[in-house]
Amino acid sequence: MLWSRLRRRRKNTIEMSFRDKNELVSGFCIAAFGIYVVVEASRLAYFSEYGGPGPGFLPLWLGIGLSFLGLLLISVNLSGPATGKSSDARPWLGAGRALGGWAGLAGAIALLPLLGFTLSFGLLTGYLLRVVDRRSLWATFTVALGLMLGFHLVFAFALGVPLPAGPLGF
Amino acid sequence: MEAIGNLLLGFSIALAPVNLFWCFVGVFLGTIVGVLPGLGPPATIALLLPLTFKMDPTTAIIMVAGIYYGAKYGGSTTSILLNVPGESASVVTCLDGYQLARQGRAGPALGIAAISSFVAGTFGVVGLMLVAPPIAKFALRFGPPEYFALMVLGLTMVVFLTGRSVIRGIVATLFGLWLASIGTDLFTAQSRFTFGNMELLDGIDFIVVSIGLFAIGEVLVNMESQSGAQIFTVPKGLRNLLPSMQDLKDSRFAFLNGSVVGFFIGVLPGAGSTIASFLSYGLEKAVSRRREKFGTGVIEGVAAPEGANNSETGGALVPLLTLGIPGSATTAILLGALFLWGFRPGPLLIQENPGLFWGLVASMYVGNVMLLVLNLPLVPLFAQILRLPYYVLYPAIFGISIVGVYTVSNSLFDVWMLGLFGLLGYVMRKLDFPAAPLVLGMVLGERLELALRQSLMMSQGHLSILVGRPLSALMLLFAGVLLFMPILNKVRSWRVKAIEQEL
Repeated sequence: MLWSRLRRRRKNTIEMSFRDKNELVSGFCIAAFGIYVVVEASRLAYFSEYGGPGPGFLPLWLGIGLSFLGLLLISVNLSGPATGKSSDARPWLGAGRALGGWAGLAGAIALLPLLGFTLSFGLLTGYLLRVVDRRSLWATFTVALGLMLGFHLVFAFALGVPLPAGPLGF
Repeated sequence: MEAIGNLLLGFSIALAPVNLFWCFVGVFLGTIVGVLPGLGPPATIALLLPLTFKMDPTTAIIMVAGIYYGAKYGGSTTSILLNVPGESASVVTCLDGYQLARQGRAGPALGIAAISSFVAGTFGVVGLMLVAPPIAKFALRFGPPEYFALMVLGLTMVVFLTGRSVIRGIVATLFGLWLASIGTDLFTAQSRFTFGNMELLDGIDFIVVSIGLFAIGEVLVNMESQSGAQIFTVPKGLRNLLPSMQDLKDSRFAFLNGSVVGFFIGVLPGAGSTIASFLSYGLEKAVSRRREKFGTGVIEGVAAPEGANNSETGGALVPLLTLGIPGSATTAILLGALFLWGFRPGPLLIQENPGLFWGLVASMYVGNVMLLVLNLPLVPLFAQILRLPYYVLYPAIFGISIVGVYTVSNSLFDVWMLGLFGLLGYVMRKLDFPAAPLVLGMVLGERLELALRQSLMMSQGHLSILVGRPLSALMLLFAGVLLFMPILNKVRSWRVKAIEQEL
């Protein structure tokens, strides 16, 4: 009883600290990005030579707005009590699997000009099933082959959609 | 009376077997094109245009228009089932459509999208038939200040898309506006925020951002947990796969709202179906009794934007046919096609070519019925996609996203951007930042800046031009009311709480 209560309290503390940290970090990132936009926009003309605003007009105000909102997020976070009521941003548990999946996607995109769409997509499917999801070799092979064939038949063959081709011509 | 006589002439043309056949081909192709992300109506019409040169021009425009409005029917399918917006106007459908699918209500969501499309599409045709010339003249009164006010009105929709934190919603909107500013400045040809990259000179395509944020981001979030084999529940039985009477009742106002908003936004050249869908969603949420449930899967959250998206087609044909002004990429291609077929779109088109105009109008009635008959039986079939286990569905969504983005401009750079925005979508979800306001900002950004700069050039820098014209002043006032309504509500609730505490 006491143990479960302690565990629940610890879990709440972890989630709250994640919320606080998330807000604080995102506030800093937004403010920094806003400053970058302001600096870049100030290099562009604020007024146009034809009259009216120039190319730097809107980006400058966007940058100011972003910096202000970033600082607002930080100040709200620092001044208010960490009650955990304002947000329920999920903790980063399980992010490893998601980022692993994204890495697979990025790898497949990098392989597109070398292997073409069909083979890269097959490898991506294989990676997601075998490495990220720990499926059996048989399941990995059948799903990857099925999806490769399906996509090739529907998009390349039936609809004639031009997709990146590899050394085998597809 | 004259209109009825003309419509009868139109039906005598539209119901000819050859026109019926090509109308069916058009709406069928359009549905397929709409379902597949990226492969939009402009590309399809451009590809098929050479095939129409040997056709009778009326038959040709009936088929091409069928592709145009057929694509809008199909656009909702992947948005609801996979959170992959098939076209830009379907982004809003993702918000409630995908949530309905997660609750095992993909069938009713797809069904209501088809029914709403039919109702609003028919309304659009009636509008095109009855009020085309006067409405087109009214639309001409829209100058840059009015467009600026319209874009501001569109941006106030952010209030209805933010979820719980307004600050986060506004941050996302500003970021979307900044994304829209990337590329070559239209007035000075200066490059902005391109990081020295040639590929960014044309800016970032909207579909790349929306597919990345919605589809890839969602898959990455779902990948975190290794749950059961199937993500969604799909109920058995046809009755559970189609909208119930309660769904239809809940969507009554959404049908009307989508129809009217879509048609009037469509008439304005350059406004487009994306704005129409955002506006009708915002309006629906503003007047709804259960507005707090929007975004969690309410049926009218699908009916309103889908209706607006389809009614916009009829509206967009008004300036095209009566003034020769195209309002979108698709209508620009249609304009080119009309010239190629030997017509001169303008005020005299209806008088000089009644067969073409009324044949097209009647064929759109027929085409809308065809689409309803074609789409409703497909709903249970499409819903079965969700029976696929997640380890098949996730790679398939990645594949569809890559194909969809690559087909926009055959650019591998765009596919890299898809990956980048997918990661951003994932991080935004983790940090509780809503994606829809970002998309809204990106859609409106370019046109907002264009209208603002044109307005201020007209007034030589005086901001008074924005409020000095009745139409723009009215829209800005309405936008102000919409923006401050939630703040006033909050202040009121604080006061009530304070009084309760005192008591």
